[in-house]
Amino acid sequence: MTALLDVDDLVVRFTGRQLGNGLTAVDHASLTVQSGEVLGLVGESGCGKSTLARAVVGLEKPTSGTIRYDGRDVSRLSGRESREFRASVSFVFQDPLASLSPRQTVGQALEEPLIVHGRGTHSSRHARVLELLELVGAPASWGERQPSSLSGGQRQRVAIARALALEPQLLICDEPLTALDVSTQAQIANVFIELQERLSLAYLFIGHDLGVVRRLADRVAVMHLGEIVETGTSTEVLSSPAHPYTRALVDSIPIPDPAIQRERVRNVLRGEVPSPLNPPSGCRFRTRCPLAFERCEQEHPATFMVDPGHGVACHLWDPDESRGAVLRDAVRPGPRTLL
Amino acid sequence: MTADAPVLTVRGLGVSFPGADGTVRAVDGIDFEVHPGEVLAIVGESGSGKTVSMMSLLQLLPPGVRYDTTGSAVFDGVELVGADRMTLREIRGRRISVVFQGALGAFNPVRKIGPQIAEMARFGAGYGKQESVRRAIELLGLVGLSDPDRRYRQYPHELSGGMRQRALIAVALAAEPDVLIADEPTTALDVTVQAQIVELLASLVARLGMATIIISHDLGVVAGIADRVAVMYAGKIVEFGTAEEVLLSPRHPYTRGLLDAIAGIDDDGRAFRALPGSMPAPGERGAGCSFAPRCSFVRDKCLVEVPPLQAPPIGFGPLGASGTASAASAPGSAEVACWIYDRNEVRS
Repeated sequence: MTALLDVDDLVVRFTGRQLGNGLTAVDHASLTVQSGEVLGLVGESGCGKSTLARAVVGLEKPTSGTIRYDGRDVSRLSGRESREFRASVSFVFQDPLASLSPRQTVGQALEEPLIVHGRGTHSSRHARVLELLELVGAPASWGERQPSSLSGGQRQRVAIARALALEPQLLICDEPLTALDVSTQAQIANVFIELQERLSLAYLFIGHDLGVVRRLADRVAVMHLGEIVETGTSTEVLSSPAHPYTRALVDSIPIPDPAIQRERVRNVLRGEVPSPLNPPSGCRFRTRCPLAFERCEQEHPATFMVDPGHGVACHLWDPDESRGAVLRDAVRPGPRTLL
Repeated sequence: MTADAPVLTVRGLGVSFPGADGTVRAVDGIDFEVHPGEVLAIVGESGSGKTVSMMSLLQLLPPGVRYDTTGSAVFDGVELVGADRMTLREIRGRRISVVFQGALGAFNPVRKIGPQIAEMARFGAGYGKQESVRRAIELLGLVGLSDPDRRYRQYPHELSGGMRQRALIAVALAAEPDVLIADEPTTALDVTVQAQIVELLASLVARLGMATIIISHDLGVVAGIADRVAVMYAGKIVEFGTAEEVLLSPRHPYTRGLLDAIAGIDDDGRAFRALPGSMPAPGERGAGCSFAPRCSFVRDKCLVEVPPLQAPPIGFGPLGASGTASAASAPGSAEVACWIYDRNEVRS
């Protein structure tokens, strides 16, 4: 089966006077999103997840690697194909105002992509605007309002509606809940869930709230300093992580239970996130990894499969690594056989 | 720890902003006190009044903003509400320090980190010129920054977000305050760094014994550090109790709703139990309970009369699934502002 989105060995490198030898924001990253599937992309700020997403839609230029959409290399699309691609892939930003002009009413903002792509007549576009508002649970009266008169959560609903205007198959969502209040986050997360089920959309969903990603995503890719270090189903990866970094991320999720949380806070990940300008040799997580040994400093880890469809880039899971057997248990307790 | 006398006692604090369309009451009569060595968390969503209440006490709202503060806030025998500038200058930054939200904006970007800390040690805690430099380096180490000598000479932009937050905590501690107020100290930081900052604050409180007030919207972060928790909604404290009481057995439907809206990592099911609607703006609050329009257990009385914050009637435990109080196992210190815990109704 051809994946809807296939990012293969993508490298995005920034150069500039202040960047010294250059900054590799995305370093040989590969991932796929199937039609109708939600892939969660998680990692700390600066890990390259937004750069990867922006490269998919052409907002950043890949240094090397290929991005295929529906089997076609997006860097070699004809004019017509390129237009189709831009209608089929849509972006939802963290800040809804990034995609809403303060000079337009909500109705105008929703109609604009239809006009640009020459879709429909004046009256059919108007009907589509009402349909879009309904899709995101907004009343028709919002069409007359200015984005500035809406709350953060309401604006994000409008931004989602606008992203849906051209009936895309893939929505790229870059931290769309981060700027919202807790109770609003849950509401907007539900909008994403409902739309995905109703329209069979595929999402590349970037988030740092692993609890949210766990519920939304079918599969998860964990990114660390430009590299994808673990992939698998969201249940596998987030409930029984195999990479020490994913383990640390999961253990850092604040839990509103005083006894548990006070204990967890005592076992925090030590050290600073290394600079992407000067990443550590070998495994890039080793400077913060509680389980690192010499090999981690010398050798970049290959990706090993811990379960079908569950890959991890860590020496611990190398079947030939004698130290792995003992230390693996610290990350992922329980008996298991290596593939 | 609560055997000590409170270092800060706040009674009936109100903050209102006069505007063209009438006066907007952002904080509507809140009471609390904080003791030495204790961590009090004030939690709520944006617009709940949690930051405004703290900043109005120290007269730290942006210049040019007209506002009125009512009620009383006594710090070490001194009334802060209506205090003159000289009185406040002695207290603010010296005896009550603030870790402001947004660590980048709080530093002067064109000055090195160290001297900014040394300055606070000098003018806040009375260290001499040489001593204050040593003290600043010591503080940089205390907040867990490696190589404090080098950090002393670095500029704010040279530090990562987490390191800057640590340095900002060092600034607040430099004056050796009796009360530390931290406004959203972990917001905008990665979860891994959040945990580090919470751990740091908890260890500093244990070591230095100052009273600490954490303002946060994150119940998970609060759970890691707070002794007592006040939940604010639309300018009022709607629930108050120990961290265990409020987070593990909440009484107010709003607290319950906030906790339910948090996605746990091991939760099954896909949809979130979201609270409907949003918090009313200060000018849009109705006559009764401000939470009533979003509450699934709303009753007639909620629409007409504001519930007072008080201890629940004897035998009334945490909020049950059906919207009634479950049986209480033991009396606690919790207080709740909700008509589900109506004392009159119990008597009749």
